[in-house]
Order: sequence, then C-alpha cells, then structure tokens
Amino acid sequence: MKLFYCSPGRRLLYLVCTVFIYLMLINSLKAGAQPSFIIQGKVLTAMDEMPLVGANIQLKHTALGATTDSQGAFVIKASQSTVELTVSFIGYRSLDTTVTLPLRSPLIFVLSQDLSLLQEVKVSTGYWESTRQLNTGAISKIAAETIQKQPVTNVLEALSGRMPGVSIQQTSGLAGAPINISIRGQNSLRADGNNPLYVIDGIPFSASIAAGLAGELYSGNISPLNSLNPSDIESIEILKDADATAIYGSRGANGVVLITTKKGRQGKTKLEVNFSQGAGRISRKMKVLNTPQYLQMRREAFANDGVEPTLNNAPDLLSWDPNRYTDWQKELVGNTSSSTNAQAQLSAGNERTHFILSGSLHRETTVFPGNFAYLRGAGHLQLRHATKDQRLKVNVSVNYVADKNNLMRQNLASQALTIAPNAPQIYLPSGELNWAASSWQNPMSYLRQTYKAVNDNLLTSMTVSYHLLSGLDFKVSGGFTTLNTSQQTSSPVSYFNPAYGVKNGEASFATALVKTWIAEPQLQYEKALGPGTLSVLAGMTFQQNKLRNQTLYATGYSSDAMLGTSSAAASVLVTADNQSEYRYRGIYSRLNYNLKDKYLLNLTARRDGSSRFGPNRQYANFAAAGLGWLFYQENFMKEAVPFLSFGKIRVSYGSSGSDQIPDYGFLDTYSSTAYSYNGQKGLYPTRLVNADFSWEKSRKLDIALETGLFQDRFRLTADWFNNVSTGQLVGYPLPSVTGQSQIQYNLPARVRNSGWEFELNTQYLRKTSVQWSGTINLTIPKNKLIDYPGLAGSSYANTYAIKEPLSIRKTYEYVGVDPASGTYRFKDADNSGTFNAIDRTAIVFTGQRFFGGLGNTVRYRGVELDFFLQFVRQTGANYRRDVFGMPGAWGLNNSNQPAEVLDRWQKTGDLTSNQKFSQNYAISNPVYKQFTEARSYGENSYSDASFIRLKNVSISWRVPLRAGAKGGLAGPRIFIQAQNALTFTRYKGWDPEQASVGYLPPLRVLSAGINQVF
Amino acid sequence: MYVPAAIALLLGGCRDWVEVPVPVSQLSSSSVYQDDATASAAMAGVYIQMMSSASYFASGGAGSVTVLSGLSADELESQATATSGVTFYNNALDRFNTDNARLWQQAYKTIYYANSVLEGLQKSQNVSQPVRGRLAGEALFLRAFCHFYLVNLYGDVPLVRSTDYKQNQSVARAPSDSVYAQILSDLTVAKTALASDYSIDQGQRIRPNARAAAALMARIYLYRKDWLKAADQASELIGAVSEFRLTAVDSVFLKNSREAIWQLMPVSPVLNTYEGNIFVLNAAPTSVSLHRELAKQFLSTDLRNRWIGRINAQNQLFFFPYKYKIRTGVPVQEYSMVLRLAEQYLIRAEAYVHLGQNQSAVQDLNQIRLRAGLEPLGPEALQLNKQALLDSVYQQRRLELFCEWGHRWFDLKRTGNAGPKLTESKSVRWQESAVLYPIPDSEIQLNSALVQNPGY
Repeated sequence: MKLFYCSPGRRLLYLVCTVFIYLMLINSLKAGAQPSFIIQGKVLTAMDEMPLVGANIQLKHTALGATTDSQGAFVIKASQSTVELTVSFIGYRSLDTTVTLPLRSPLIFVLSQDLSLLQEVKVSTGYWESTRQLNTGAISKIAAETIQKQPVTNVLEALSGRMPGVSIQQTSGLAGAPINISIRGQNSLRADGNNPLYVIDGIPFSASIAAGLAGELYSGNISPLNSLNPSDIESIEILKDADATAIYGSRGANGVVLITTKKGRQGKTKLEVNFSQGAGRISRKMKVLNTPQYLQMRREAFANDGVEPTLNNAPDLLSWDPNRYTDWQKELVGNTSSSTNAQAQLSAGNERTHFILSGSLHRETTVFPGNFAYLRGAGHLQLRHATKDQRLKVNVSVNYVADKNNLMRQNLASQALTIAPNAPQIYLPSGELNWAASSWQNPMSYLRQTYKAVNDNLLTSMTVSYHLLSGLDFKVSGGFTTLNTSQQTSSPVSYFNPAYGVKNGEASFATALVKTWIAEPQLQYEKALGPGTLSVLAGMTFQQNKLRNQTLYATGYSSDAMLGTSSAAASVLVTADNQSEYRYRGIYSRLNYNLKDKYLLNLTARRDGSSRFGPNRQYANFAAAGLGWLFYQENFMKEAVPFLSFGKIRVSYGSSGSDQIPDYGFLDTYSSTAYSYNGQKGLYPTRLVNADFSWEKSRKLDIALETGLFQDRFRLTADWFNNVSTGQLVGYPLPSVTGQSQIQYNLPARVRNSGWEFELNTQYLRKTSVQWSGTINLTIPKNKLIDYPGLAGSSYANTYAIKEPLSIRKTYEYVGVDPASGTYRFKDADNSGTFNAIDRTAIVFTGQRFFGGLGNTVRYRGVELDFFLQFVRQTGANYRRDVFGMPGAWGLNNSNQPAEVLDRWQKTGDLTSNQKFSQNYAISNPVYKQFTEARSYGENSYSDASFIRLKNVSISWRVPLRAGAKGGLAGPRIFIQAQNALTFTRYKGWDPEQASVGYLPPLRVLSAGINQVF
Repeated sequence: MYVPAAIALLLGGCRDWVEVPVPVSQLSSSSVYQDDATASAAMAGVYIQMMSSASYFASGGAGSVTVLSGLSADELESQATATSGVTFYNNALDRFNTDNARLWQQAYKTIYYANSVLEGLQKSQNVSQPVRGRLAGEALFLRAFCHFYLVNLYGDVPLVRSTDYKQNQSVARAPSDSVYAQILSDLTVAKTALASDYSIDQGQRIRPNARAAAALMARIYLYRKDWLKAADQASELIGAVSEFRLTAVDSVFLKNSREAIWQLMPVSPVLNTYEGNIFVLNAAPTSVSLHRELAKQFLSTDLRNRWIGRINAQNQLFFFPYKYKIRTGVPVQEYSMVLRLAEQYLIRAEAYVHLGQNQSAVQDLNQIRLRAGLEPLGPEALQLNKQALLDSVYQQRRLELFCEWGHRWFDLKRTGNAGPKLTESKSVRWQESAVLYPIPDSEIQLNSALVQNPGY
C-alpha cells in the first residue's frame, strides 16, 4: 500500500522512536512501583453529574498527579499519609482539600464551572506561555472543540470568521485548494508576500511549495497545511501585534499562526474513536441563460450586427439542436461529494510519562463527474516524559501524513457556466464522446486529462529541558520535517478530438522534496525581584531548508495505459531540476516583569540573519515593548465599578520583518535551458539583479481594552492597531522591454494597516442544567498607501494611488448604457476621444470594509446546539470581469452568459444595465471595444460582494447510558454538522467569498458522526 | 543592557552561517564568461529560447510572426473558434490581445538575452578572441533582427541596447529612423565580426554569419528604398555561388538546404518544425489553413503547387501551406527557414526596377520563375512600365515567400497596398490604423512613457 510506504531513513526514525517510547514506558513503570498509599476517586461536573474527563488532580509540593479518564476516575499512588490535593479543570473552579490516607471510600469531587476563570486560559506565543489575564499581546485562540464542530479538510477553513483581524478566503470548493489568510491586512504590495509564518509544534512550516505542476483547478499552489489532520490539533493561536510577533523577528510581519497538536494527559488508558460521514454540494449555483434565452441572445447578436450566421461562427444556431437543454452546472459540478472521516486515538499517562497516539483516514470525493477523490491518512504521536525529580523533561512529537489528490487537470468549473445550454449530447449512442464535428471541446474529455498529487509529510519535533538551578531552566528544542511531493499530469490520446489526429499521449511529472531542520537552545530564568516577578528568556535559532525539485516532460507514448510512467515515453525531457537552500539564524531575548499581577512589562528583541539577502544586507534587528495594566485590581476601581470582574489595558509597540522572497534573489546567475541546440545545452540569465535589497520592516502599535463584566458574564475586548510597513520588498513589476517581468526591490513606499477589532463573549445562561453562550466579533480594517515618492514614474503608477488602499482598482467612471447606440459609456476625463490611463478616474475599493462572525452555543444536559454566522462587507469583481466572453458572441465552450445580461439594450431609448448583444470580436466593432474596456477597466465590472453565511451549524448529543451499564462507560456522542449551510448575498457572480467567477464555490457539507470514548 | 552584549557575543562567531553557495543548477554570471564553452552555451541559450515554444515570435508556430502576420495579411485563414486568430485575420486586434503581447515580449526577451551576452563578453577577458568576436557578432545580429521585426510590426519602438532595467523600464518609443540606424550599425559590426562560411557547425546553417547579416541588410535597404545598397548586398549573396544556389522546389526547406542563408534548428524533442506542426493537415483544420485566394494565384504549371497541400474534410476542400512536409515526430529532417537565397533575387530584382535596370531585374525574376517551372519572361517584359514590372516582382514575392516570416504583410504595408488589397481578398472592414499592431496594454500600464498607436 502506497500510504504506508516509507523510505529507509524514515523507517529508521520510526524504529528509534519506538525503542525510545518502549524504554521510557519501562522506566516509568519501574519508577512508579514504590508508593504505599492509593488515592482513588472520581470527578464529576456540578451541572449534570457527568464524569469530567481530563481533570487534573495534583498533589501539592510534589510532582505527583493524575488526570481523570473517560469515566472521570483517577488513581494516584502516594507515599505520605496526609496529602494536599488540588483538583482543577480549565473553566472550572478548582478545589483544594487535604485528605488523610488510607481512604475509606473513593473520593468524589464535584467541580462547578467558573466563568471568571476563563481568564486563566493559557495562551502561547511559541516561545513562552502566559494566561489571558497576564498576557500583554494581541493573540486570538481557537480550541479543538471549535475545530471539531466543522467538517473541513484544511484546518484554516475552520478559522473563517471566528477571529477578529483574521481574514480567511477559501479559493475554491475543492479539497486541497489553497486558503488565503491575511492577518491585520495586506502589508506588502506583493500578492504573495502576505503569508503569515506557520509554526507547528515549534517548527516553522513552509506555507507554499511550488512543485511545478499546479493543476489549473487551483488558482495557486496546493496548501501544505492540508497535510495536517484537523482533529489532531489541540489549538491554534494567531499572534497579531508586535508584542507577540517581534520574537519571530524577520518572519513575524504578517503575523504568526501557531498550531499545537494534541498531547497526552495523565490518566488511565483511554481510547477514543470517531467516525463521520458527510455529503457536499456546491453552495451556490449561478443563474445562466436557458436554451430559449440563449438562442434569442445569439440571434439578436447577429441581427444587431447585420450579419448572417455561418457554420463557423454559429454552430449552435445552425447545426445544434435548438430544443436541447442541458444544465451544465448540474452536469459538470452538480454531483454530491462524499466525505468519510475515521479516527482512533489512544492516550494514557502517569505523573511522569504521557502519550497520545492517533491514526486517521479521510476520504473525500468531488462534485465533478468521474472518479476523483482526495485521500489522507495521518498518524500522530506525542510523548512526554520527566525524570522522577522533574528536572529533566523530554517531549517528542511525530506527525506523519500521506495524502493523495486525484483530479482532472483543467478547470471544469468555469465551463459549467459558459457552455451553451443547447450544446450537443455528451455521448454518442455507441458510448463514445460526441465531438459534434469539432464544434465544441467535449467537456467530458477533460476528465481524461488527469492530475495527481501525492504528498508525504513528516513533522517531528523534540524538546529537552533541564532544571539547572532554582528558577533557571535550560531548554533545547529541535525539529525536522520533510515534505515529499510528487505530481503528475497526463494527456491521453483519448482526451483529444480525434479530428486533431493526435497519435501519442503525453505526461508531465514533478517531484519536490523539502527538508527543514531547526534547533533552538534557550535559557529561562524566573525570580522574585522586589515586589514582583522577573522572567528572562534568551535563545538562539538555527534553521536550514533544502529544496529539490524536478520536472519531467514525457512524450510519444504509444499507449494511454502507460502514461503513469516516464519510462514508457519515447522521449523524456528534464524541464527543471533545481536545488535551493535557505539558511536562517537569530538570537532572541525576552524580559518580563510582573508587578503584583497588576502591572506588566514585556520586552522582546531579536536579531536575525537570512540567506535570502546579499552580502552585508543579511542581518536586521527587531524589538518590541508591551505594557499591561490590570486596572480591575485597583481598589478604587473595585469601589467605583463593582460589577467589573476583569479589566486590563494593554499597549504594545515594536517591529517585525519579512523575508518572504525567493531564495538567491540577489545572485547574478545563469540557468541551464531544458532543450539543446545542435547538441549543446544553453544557458540563460536567471534574473535581473539588484544586490542591494534588504529587510522589509513593519512597525506595529496595538492598544487594547479587555473587560469582564458581571462576573465575566460579558467579556469585551477591543483592539486598535496601527501597523506601518516600510522598505516594501517587492518583485517590482517591469515592462517586458527590460527582458524580465520583475526585479527584487525595496520600494520607498509606506503602507499603513490600521483598524478596530472587537470581540464580545457573553454567557446568557450559565445554570447548571442549561448553558447558553454567544460570541460576536467584528473587524474594521483600513489600509492605506501613505506615501511613495516617485509613484507617478514607477510601474505602479496605474495601479496604486497615494492615500488610497492597496486593493483599489483604477477604473473608467461608468456613465451607463448609451440609450442611442446601446453601448457602454464611460467618462472620457480628458475629452481625448480615446481611453487610456488618464481616464481611469473612478477608484473602486475591492477590499473588505468590515467582517466578522456571530455564534451561539446552547447546552442542555447532554445536548449541544451551535451555530455560527460569518459576515463580510466588500466589493468584488463581478461576471463582467472574468470568464465570460462578449454576450452574444460564439466561443469554444464559452458562449453562455449569466442571466443578468438579459437586461440589455435592444432599441433606441432603452435604459439597461448591459449593452446590446453582438457577436463580432473585432476592435472596429464598438460593442466589442466597450466590452474589452469594461472588462479590463470598467467601473461596472465591480459590484457589491458582501455576504452573510451560515458557516456552521452543529448539534451533538451525548447518549446517556442506563445506570449500572457495564464498566461505567460513558455514552457515545452523536453529532450532525453542516458547513456553509446558507449564503445570503447580492453578488453578481458565483460565490462572493472568492469574489471571482471561475472557481468552484465552497461546498455545502452536511456531516453526521459518532464519537465514543472507551 | 545585557541583550546587546549577548548578541555581540553570540553572533560574533559564525557570521557566514547565512551565506549559502550558488545552487548547482545555476552558474554565476561572471563564471559563464570565463571560458569559451560556457560563453557559447549562453549564446546557444538565445536560439533555444527563440525556438522553445510554438507561441514565441521566431518559432514558426501559432504565436509566431509567420502565423500571426500571415493571418493579418491574406496568406492564412483562421479556422479556430478561439477568438485571437480571428481578430488577427479581421485586422481587428485590440490592445489586450495576448498573442500580440507575447510577440512583443518574446522579441524583447531575445534582445535582452543578446544584450546579456554582449555585456558578459565586455566584462570578461577570458573568452578567446575568435570566439568573442563570433559571439558578439551573433548577439548583435539577433538584436538587429528582433528590432527589425518590432519596428515593422509596431512602428516606432523602444530601442534597447543594454540590460539596465532602470533605464529600460521607462524607455520611450524611438523614431523608426533611429531604430533602423541602430539596426544597420549592429549589422555592419556583426558582418565584419562573423565568418562568411558555415564551418562553425560543420556546414549546418543554424547560426547567423556574415552572409545572414548581408541578407538582412539587403532587405532593410530595400524597405528603406536605398536601392543601390540593397542590390549590392543581395549581389554579395547571389555571387557566392559556392555557398548558395536555388535548389529544387522539394528540397528548399530541408535541413542544411543549399538555398538557406540562416535556418533555426528545431529544439522540441517530438517535432520537426513548428511550421509543419501547425500547417500540415491530416483532418479538418482547427487553427489555420491557407487562404483560398492565395491558392488560386498559382498557375497549374507552377511547381510551387507542391508547396500547397489539399485536404477534403467535412465536405469542404481546405488548403494548407506544405513547404514543410513533416507534421510531427522525429528524426528532424527540416529546419525552420529564416533567410534564403530566393528572397535575395527578388530584392535585387525590385531594386533594379527602381534603378531603371529592367534587364537585370527581369533576369533575377526569371531565376525564380525558372526554378518554379514557369516560362521565363521574354524581351517584351522589358517594355513594361515600372509599375507593371514591380507588380510582377511583388506577385513572385507573394508566391515564393508565402507563410515565411510575414513577408506578405510587410510588403503590403511598405507598398501602401494593405487597405485596398486586403479589403479585396478577404472582405474585412479595413481601418488604416490596422497597419500597426497595438502596443500591448500591459506594457503601457507598466511604462507610462509608452504611447499607444492610433486606433487602439
């Protein structure tokens, strides 16, 4: 089985891990064999007296402790006869008690939920941990329970709308498609320079890899984050401001996405199994013309032009059946996809060793006809061990994911919108594809052109820490990841129209191997200093990434059956074979002073070096300061505002940077050509060179107010941020007269991202039997190009404007459809009679004006109901901008139009939104001329793309088992989840989230499943 | 306070950790020009680039001058339902047309590569003298060659003589006179620097040499109406009888044809020429076919009828250019012809007419007619007026050079006949502004110094 294939190196690694685990288990069992007393008991919730799974029971002043199992039970072995116990669980009020041993009967602890303790929730920046209360940075967190409510393939989808300041955009409804994420706006002018840094269990993860053969189905590369099983994730934290990101120095400018995988807990061996089955369909259909409307459009176009249809320009009118009707959206993207998810998770732990081991399988088919599917198998192992004196702690985590994506090569989604509704039947009675005398490209032929991507992803990390002296700890964390991708596309003979006479199929192969290692030694020191506590951290980072990719182009296959191997090709050409290396190092430090849990100071600094910059440009410094004032602790506040249960003001200011540019950008080199000339391989200049580009810097200011009212029944957080990025590192676009399309360059521009973020969490009801909570978040982002000396003379002159956002489009001001001539009219600003850049005076803002989400959760005994709405206010490109040809004109598989075009000019005096139909693609035809102008620069090609989406609804029910059921087994949890359930929008296109027309809308997925803990 | 101290301490040691070596798949520019072999490889890279895709301007394929200008003139009919070919055929290009943008891009890309070779050679002392001279000559030739096509397709165009992007990114269009002056100056230097034989590639005519420079100069002088110089340059080639002769009709386009002055060698592993690949039909055409009007122009006795293929498909008769016979597959037997002797006869014939030397003109014209199996023009031809004689030269140019590098399109334009002839042969709605292709919109967006051609 391919899924479980592993290389010798990987096998060795497994072997080492296995031996390691074995030794540790043996060791811990031995160590645990001495105590003489047994403390046994159960922890229950006050609400419904259900077992509380995963609660902590800790023996004070010792390292001994346990975690409750699936029945809420725990066992601890102690050596003293009197022990002080602390029973705790996140979100519940802790219990402290003293017990005398031996016990007469098992202990029963009942914990009640304490919402004021929500401030105790831990937040991490990757380098240190803090609590919501004591943290000085802007960090949003989403936990496993929110992720698990959503049937998503890529975990980033689960964040959509849930975090203020974080904008998530799914680029296609296909499994495995890339997800665009932007944290606090677009900092860089470079479209690909706004990726955040992803850190998985402490290891930076490359967010995009270009293996060379991206299928056209995706608007970009495949997201490597697909290679993470969402249910292996414990939490995701998004670090936004300088206080949290400056420690990431050069890579923190666009924010940091911190992904933490699940860890084992203390307690008995616990097995959890989860199975769910889902079905998906496209969430929205676009209304396009039906056959009578379509034929009327075509005839009207010919009549308008005064031209007689011929077989060449009107096979749809002359040779196709005028009575046929096919709903191509139903035919090509109308299937129901099925997704299956199965997972088993085993965990156990005593006071010194914990582990979790899980395996999962995910399979998802597509909405396309044909046998396409995405398959993912994942294994996750996490292991912690501490010596008896708790001085030495070791933590190992291994994630292995293999996935396989089988798709077709070309985008069938856009054709589903544009193929004429009276196009011929797909298959001839004989079962062969119908080519209808070459009058179309049979869309089913595209299914034969396949695309396959296979990824193997191994992520390992290990942390060893040692307690040196009181307050002083030494820690080394290290990680190693490999990502092995192979992609393949093939064009069999059967794909081609037989009339073309193609005799041989062809195939392309691409492989990429990325290896990354990182090592981070650090020292931590904590000491009471004066009235407060001082913590200091200092460390270093070394990182190396190596990439090798190769693409082959194989031609001359004599049989379609052998397209999977390059050895059956008559000719194989190596079109690329590249190796690159990235090296990075940094030194960082943090100094934190906490004065009486009331005044907080957090200073961070980092110096970074990156191999992506030329000599003498490699190093840069970054630093930040964060301040916190827990004003609710002040006596005067307690008196003045007695209902205030929490209050904090935090302020941070600092810098972080970005080195998101290609490797070797400063090197003046030649590369080898794929072909040869008279037996000689050629060389060509790789790039235009600017050796002097250096770091891009972003200065971030964040001011926030965090409050809790009425015992934290209402928790409101408001952030105001103002980030200014300078020294913009861009692939500066060049006219092709220069020979290349861009050059690496630091722009003298300053870009500001500022805005407001609000988050309100409410506990409407928090009785023991019924709980109802809600969350609302809202982000109002503002983006502005503050200044750019020389903009007018630069190649950005027609793209950007000072004091305007980066996401503007300069367009011709739309006047309307001329009632006399029936064509679009735009304002000719300089009255020159021609349209050029000077006339593009109407500025359309295509970014988001505000966005956010609203969710509610109701729990009643074992039943939980949850829904989440996402809302976005934005303007986007509509159907006039993309995909569709000129209304009325003929194109190969591209002549149908959205229903909106029916509101068109027909006779003098008509006032309409669309110009008249025409079928002549000639610049001398004023209708075509205005069509191209509108499509490229027309103000009317943009319109409202706001939407409200019922992103998620989920219901779960824990089936109560009759008392006395065997072994005290907790009942199974049954759940039903719906993703992208409903969308409300006035968008004139397919899906407003992408605000572009040609890609598959996100799927509406309905999923049901069962979860059982043994 | 301890922070800067610690930084200084820890980073002092290994400063070069973040300095990575040049990757194995790349070679630093300075080392490329350290020896003859790699410097030659950089030059080979230019030819490979020109031939590496059917959509590039010099390829002969779908995006080449040959095909696109063939459509703009009355040599090819567009059979594609795709819209781009149709707009070339209808002389109805718009400034967003991607084929047009690629023509421009690839011509300038070739110029950029040629300039990199020139600058690399200038900076280095280590390339041996003969190789240095030859490579510089070839690079200058290619720079002139690309500028020639640009100036003929677009009118005034930016003149690019270095790889300095700071200067080139805002370069304005130079008057065509100064573009031509630069072309001629480049060709003159190239001609002296290059050898006049083909020994470099063991007789293969796959790199421009001094002869190719002369051939292009002859054409330019003709276009510039400098009749004497045009005749002079053409005579150089016609006189080199040991190198060149008019071969039999069937062997003109074979590799290393004796008629060839410069051919580009196919680089694709699965094809002969891109011309053969797009033109030769074995079923109903899906992109282009030969214009019916052109097919009618050949007398039945004309041997060049062998350059026209015929196919019956979908109850219609289609014609196709059949100069290249091989549609697909290897081994390579045909190279893509860029410059050949027949054109030189026709250049000289035209120049002689203008110089009043009708007898010489008719003699040259007869060389072409004889090879095509036609009757030579008799003494009565000498009595024809100038225009009639010119018309018979133009007609032979049309028949001889069809579907090769846009000859017909350029001839119609330079003789001022594009409008009248094209409205007649293909009933398009002609606008005089169509003689120049539009400057691609993307270029103007990135370089505000560029001004669009009228009519777009």
